[in-house]
Amino acid sequence: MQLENLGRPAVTIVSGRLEGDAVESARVFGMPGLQYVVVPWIYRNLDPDRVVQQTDAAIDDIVRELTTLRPAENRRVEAAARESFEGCNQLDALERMNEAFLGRDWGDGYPLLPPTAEAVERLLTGTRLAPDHVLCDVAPGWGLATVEKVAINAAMAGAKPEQLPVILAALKALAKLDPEMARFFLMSTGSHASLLLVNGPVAKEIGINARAAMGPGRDNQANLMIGRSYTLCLKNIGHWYPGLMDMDTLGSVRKFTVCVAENEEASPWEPFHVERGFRRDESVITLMGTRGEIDVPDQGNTTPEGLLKNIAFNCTFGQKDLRHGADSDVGRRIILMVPPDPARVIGEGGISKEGAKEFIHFHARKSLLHSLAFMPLRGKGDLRWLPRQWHWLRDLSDKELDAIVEPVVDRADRYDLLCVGADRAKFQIMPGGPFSPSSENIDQYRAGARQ
Amino acid sequence: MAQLEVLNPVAEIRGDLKPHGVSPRLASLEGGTLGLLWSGTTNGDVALRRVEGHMRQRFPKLQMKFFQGDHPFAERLLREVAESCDGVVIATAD
Repeated sequence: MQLENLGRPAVTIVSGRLEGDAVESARVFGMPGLQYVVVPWIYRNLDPDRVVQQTDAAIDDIVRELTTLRPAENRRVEAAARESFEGCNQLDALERMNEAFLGRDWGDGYPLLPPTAEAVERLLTGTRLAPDHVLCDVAPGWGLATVEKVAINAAMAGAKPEQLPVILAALKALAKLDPEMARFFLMSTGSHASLLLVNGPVAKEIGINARAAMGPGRDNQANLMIGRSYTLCLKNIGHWYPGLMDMDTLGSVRKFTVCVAENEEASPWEPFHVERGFRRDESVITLMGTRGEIDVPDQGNTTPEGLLKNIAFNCTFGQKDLRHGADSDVGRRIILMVPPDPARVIGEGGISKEGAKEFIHFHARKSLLHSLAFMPLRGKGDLRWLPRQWHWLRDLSDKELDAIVEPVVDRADRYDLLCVGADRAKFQIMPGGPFSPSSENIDQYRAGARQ
Repeated sequence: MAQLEVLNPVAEIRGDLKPHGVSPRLASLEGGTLGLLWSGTTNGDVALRRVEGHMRQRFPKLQMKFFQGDHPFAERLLREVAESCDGVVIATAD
């Protein structure tokens, strides 16, 4: 397609089982009339005679596709709704399914459970919504998220029926983002990844961990299944395939999406969803963007100020983006995961959540020399990153830039403070953004919920 | 033998992408340069060399150039192919 866009007719040899994939990719990239030839077998494991045989048989087609324009409307191939895999036993058939699905990048690299009609039907008992209900379009490929498609991906992830409403709500929270922001977030060459925070009664009801909630293990099964389901939905409904629509330079383990519950019982402050205007007894999921994670130990601070200063000084990483003003909803955010023990010291010391954020915002400062190092200010620097009102910075020396010390984020409310963690004093700081958190009520998607 | 029937997890696309057409086809292969672009996957090169052999027989005046890259292809490579060839045959050999 890129060669076609460069003005050159480009004919790809596609093996038959992947023809549906070729058509889908062409559609995602806006070139439904892409011309290709189809050979019966996948080349990779083919014996030499068959390689020669099927290629020879395709020569006339190749000549034709290079020299004859085909009407686009005749080319659409519907991907099959169902697919069968044969094996000498069920396990063997499952292995073949995995080989095919993982080979098409329909998974996350780990073995998949089979999305049989029975498994999907079982999952659908977890929601009141009809299977053909279109929940939303999923970025970045704008695939139609029917409830059934979500359930198919959740089945592959190993999710349970009671987890399906959480997954549906997570996708809806993503759909609430500005479309261009959603595409930027998901298609970036940086390692932007989603974080899902669950508040309200559903967390305990279905076992979403709020303590050591982000690692592998028995206690995080619900967290992992929800996160995995969401990732698979992004891939297969949003067409968020690495190298195609996920253009990340390095990738990140955070794309095996993290899902945590807030430790509301142990927190001295109001829960995150209440802060955002929901009732305490509402179950809510909030989607946040992350760009990394930093482990912050604390080896003996016993005062609120000492704990908060430690957090603040560890927030002085990263870049300062001058393109977005303090009033913008877009921009750098920082997620602070504060476990119950230090949270209690801070809260019982008389500092509210807003007060904690103000304190951190005041103390988390960095020189412009460091925070603007990512874009050369002089010479051939890309001035798209430097609005006109900041051009005067280009006249300053390094010493002068180093003397200008600014808060690392634009406003105190760009910190998102969550009480998550076990009963130990380690914080976790996640560079966040670029969008403000997006929340969605979960209860409306549960089975038996009132409409 | 056991059979396992599963549902397709991939969704239909409806988006805001503006579809556009492919570039014009070649008037003929009696001349010009045809690029053969291999993504590095097994047997894709064999297939393309087979294409090359057939094309040389059928179109003696057609020049051919072989390129190799990784999938996804680097933009620089694609530009080089586009600048030096009139048409391209590509094998991902998947």
